[in-house]
Amino acid sequence: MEQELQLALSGLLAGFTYALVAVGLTLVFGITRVVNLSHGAFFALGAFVTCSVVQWGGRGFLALPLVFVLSLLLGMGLERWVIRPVRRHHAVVAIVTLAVAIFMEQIFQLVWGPDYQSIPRELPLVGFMGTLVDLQQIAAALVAVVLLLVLFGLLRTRIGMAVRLVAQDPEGAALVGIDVPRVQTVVFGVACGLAAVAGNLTAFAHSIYPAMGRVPLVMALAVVIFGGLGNVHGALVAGLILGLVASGVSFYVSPEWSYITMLLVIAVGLLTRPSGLLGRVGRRD
Amino acid sequence: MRGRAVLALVGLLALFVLSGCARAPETGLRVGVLAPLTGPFASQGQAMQQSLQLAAEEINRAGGVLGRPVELLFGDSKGTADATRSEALRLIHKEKVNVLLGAYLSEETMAAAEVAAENRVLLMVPVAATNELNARVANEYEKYKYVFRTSYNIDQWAGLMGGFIADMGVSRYAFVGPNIRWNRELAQALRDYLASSGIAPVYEEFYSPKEPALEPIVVALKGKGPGVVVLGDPGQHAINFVKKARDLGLKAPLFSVGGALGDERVARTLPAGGPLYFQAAAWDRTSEEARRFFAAYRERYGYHPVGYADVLARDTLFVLTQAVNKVGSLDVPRLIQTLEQGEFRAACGVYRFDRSHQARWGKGEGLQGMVVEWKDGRAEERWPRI
Repeated sequence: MEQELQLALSGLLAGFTYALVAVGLTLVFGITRVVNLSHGAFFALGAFVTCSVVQWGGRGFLALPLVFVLSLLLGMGLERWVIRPVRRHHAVVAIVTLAVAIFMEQIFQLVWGPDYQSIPRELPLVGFMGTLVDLQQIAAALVAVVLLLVLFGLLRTRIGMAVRLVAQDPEGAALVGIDVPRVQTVVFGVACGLAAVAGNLTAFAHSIYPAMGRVPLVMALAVVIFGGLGNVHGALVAGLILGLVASGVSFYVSPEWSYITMLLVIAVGLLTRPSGLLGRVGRRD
Repeated sequence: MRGRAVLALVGLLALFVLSGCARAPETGLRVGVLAPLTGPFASQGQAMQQSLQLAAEEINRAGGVLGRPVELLFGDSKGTADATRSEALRLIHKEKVNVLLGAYLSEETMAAAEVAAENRVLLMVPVAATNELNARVANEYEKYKYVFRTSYNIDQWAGLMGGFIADMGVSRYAFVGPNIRWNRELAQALRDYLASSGIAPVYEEFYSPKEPALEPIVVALKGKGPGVVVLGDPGQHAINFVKKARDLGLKAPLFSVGGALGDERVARTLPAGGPLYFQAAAWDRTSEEARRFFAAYRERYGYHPVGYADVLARDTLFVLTQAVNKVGSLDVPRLIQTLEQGEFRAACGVYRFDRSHQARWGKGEGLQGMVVEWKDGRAEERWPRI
């Protein structure tokens, strides 16, 4: 029973991380119709900046506002000057964002070097009902939940309505006076900021290296597709499900089956619900 | 007008030819180095590059090769066979290197071996461990006789690690690592080696190299109670695994194949909770030459190398230059003969090659490797006892 509890806890906490990365990606797709392949590089940026702050004697959590603002500004600049000029050509956008990811990896290598880096945890583990609860992971999940709640709350405000209108009908939004390009730029920046925050929150648990953003990107893409493209709630639910599946299969079947089972779950999910877990059938492309 | 154009064309051609002549090699030995300088394995590629640069400087300070300086030309293998192949061809045909040295991964190295064999260029392999390389040289000697490996192969690696595990006095061990061919081969070789000592695996699992769920593995390991957990991952997940293992209270000794966990900067950040060992080709006490190399590396780059890809790449260049100096020329057949028959002293010990052009590693041979333990962020050499 203790083992099962430990596994469930690990799976849930891993799921929150997937969700935080994926929510940004799905938000960008929902608002701008762009699949941002540089999203993982912002995750890595968050981890690297956190690593530097810790190495300079600071606290990892204190780096959180810094990584968010830095990535927000970088993301807004990227959208405004790199993506906007080619946005109408979907294939070109994908290639451009991939090129940005590779470029950012090279910059990380130049600035931080190619070696694996690591930072120690700042919060301890505590015993709870026979399991070990990682307070740092709990704190990371809480921050992720708070950020997601803030995001969902914002989407229900007047500004959020404008954002949702841009997502549903950009032309209509422009006709009623909404500055569509500006909304798209800000949303893109916020999404990059969320990816960097995920990098910050999990930096203590992983090794940090220039190409570290690739796997979270693939996982986030899988979560986004599984949850329903452009559906923020779907991304959250899909992240949690996949986190639990990976954890369970790894323990009860074999670790080598966990990744492939996750992909299998996604494939079966999409075959039965082609629009994703919470996606709506017949939505506008 | 037409005459001027012809004259200009002739002038350009002359300039092109002359510039080509000016680029003709004036060095004694041009070595084309294949290493992953970008991509997921760039860390190890950079370690190889830095060590080789130090080695070349040392060799050149001592008079170089055949009285001329050694020149290193780097090709980025990027961790893929395709990039390795194209870079090897560029180094041979455009840069006119005399010898290839590299690569890092087995897949890269097999591609480099093909290019070396087709172009009859010597290839010195400093890292890749696959047994297939030896098999090719042994089975198709005439084609692959250009390939020599200084690093240990899978069987030898299992022998080095198994020797330590047997000396630990444990009866049960676990093996965990990414689900890649190299790792499965190592697990099998280790199982075979330890079977003769009556030591059996109680848990053997391979996780996805993409996104492993490590907590379930740690939870399962805690239930199995192995005497030592062998961590067959030289990369980033090894760091994550140690963190998870110690955080979740797994106290069993962890024994890594080396690589990422041999880095003292990483070791300082890992949680305590049980012994952490790693396997290295050499460490400070292996030889006086090793001690000098590690000290020079630390002075130049600010940290201790991990004692694998770095020191092996360095030694490979020393073995090669000793062979060239013995022969007195860059004649390939005579170099092959000299490498096959000679002994070459470097940081890890004395290199001698067997019939499959594999350096002899193991107990009683000139090369035995080292097991090091991290204690409070400091390295302590544990095995073999010197």
